[in-house]
Amino acid sequence: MPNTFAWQGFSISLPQDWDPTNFSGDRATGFARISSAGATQLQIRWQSFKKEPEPEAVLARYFKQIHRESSRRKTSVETESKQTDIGLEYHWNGAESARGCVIVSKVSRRLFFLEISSAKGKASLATFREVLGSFLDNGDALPDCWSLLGLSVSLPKQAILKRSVLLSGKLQLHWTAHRAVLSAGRTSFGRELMGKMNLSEWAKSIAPKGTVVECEHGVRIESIRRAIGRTVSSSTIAKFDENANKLVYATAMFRDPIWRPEWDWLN
Amino acid sequence: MGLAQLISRFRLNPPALALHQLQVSRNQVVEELVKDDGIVVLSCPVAVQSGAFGKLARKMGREDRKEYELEPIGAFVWNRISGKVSATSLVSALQREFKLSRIEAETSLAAFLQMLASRGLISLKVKKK
Repeated sequence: MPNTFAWQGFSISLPQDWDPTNFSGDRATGFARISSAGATQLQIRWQSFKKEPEPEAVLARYFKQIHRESSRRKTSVETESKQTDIGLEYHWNGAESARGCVIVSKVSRRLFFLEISSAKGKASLATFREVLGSFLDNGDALPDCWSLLGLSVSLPKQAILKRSVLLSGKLQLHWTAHRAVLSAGRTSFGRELMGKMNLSEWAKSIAPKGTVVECEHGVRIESIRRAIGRTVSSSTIAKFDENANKLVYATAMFRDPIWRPEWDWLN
Repeated sequence: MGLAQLISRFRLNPPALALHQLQVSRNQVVEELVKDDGIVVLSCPVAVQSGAFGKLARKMGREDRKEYELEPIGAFVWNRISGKVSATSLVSALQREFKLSRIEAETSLAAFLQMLASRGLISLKVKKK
């Protein structure tokens, strides 16, 4: 099973035991950290720009910081960089070592910093090449994909991520879009949970009100609330993926029917 | 008591407990009883109380034991702790059996092992390099 991390309009394939542990920001500016089982970690930073930046100047500023930090720690650091098809690749070796790349993406007009850091001399070039080669900036292309830790959601239009909840065994993402509020989530231990309750009961814990309809994919719960001058619909789909032992759901409160969750949202 | 109670309670962060250096072994004085529904009941002697209540308990011949119930997921981990096992092998077993991601398995297991250790049911030892 590929381990894809898709976030804020970009995606990257990761080695199997690498998992995202920390992220912040939005589509314009942000940060994500992905940790491996060992000491290696991948950091991705992105920032939107109006005037296209010079990657060499950006990297020179970063190297200056690295040198300043290492002289403070009284250690030496070696740096090198080289322009490739993907971007400006660099390598520094000091108390720790890292391989990275500065990518100026014209698709979304964002500057990306990808860096794999590890213990001294252990930043593997092969892993770095593999990860970097899989990096893709989708920009505003649709569907808008979000994928991490076994949850993979394809939204029909761009939405703004408002909140993410990463707990052991439970993951939730919450977005807002024009006239819609959306959420998607994944719960581990699906088999064990299904031993205690059925899928409809579990789906009802997400969407307590509405008509429950069982279908071949899973369960859909829908309700319509009419207020003066407007109608707000809510729809929730939930399914049990037995092979991956997980329960996934997507739920939305919307006025525009494009935001009614469809089964192909949950890949 | 068990992993199920720990699910959804811990933020996914690499655990502070260095799992790759950890060896886990059962406390030899712990007795176990396996129920039909997969629940394991562990019984462990509590520390002898001092003072009047301790004296009274000893006089009455009351065995001071405390019982803990492990639900099936917790029991799954407990059953794999035989002799000395590495925490990494427990992480792999959890990942395989419950299809968890590495970070999820590590976070839950670290919390669970700390809970078992704090109740004196297991001992945790840091492996020498």
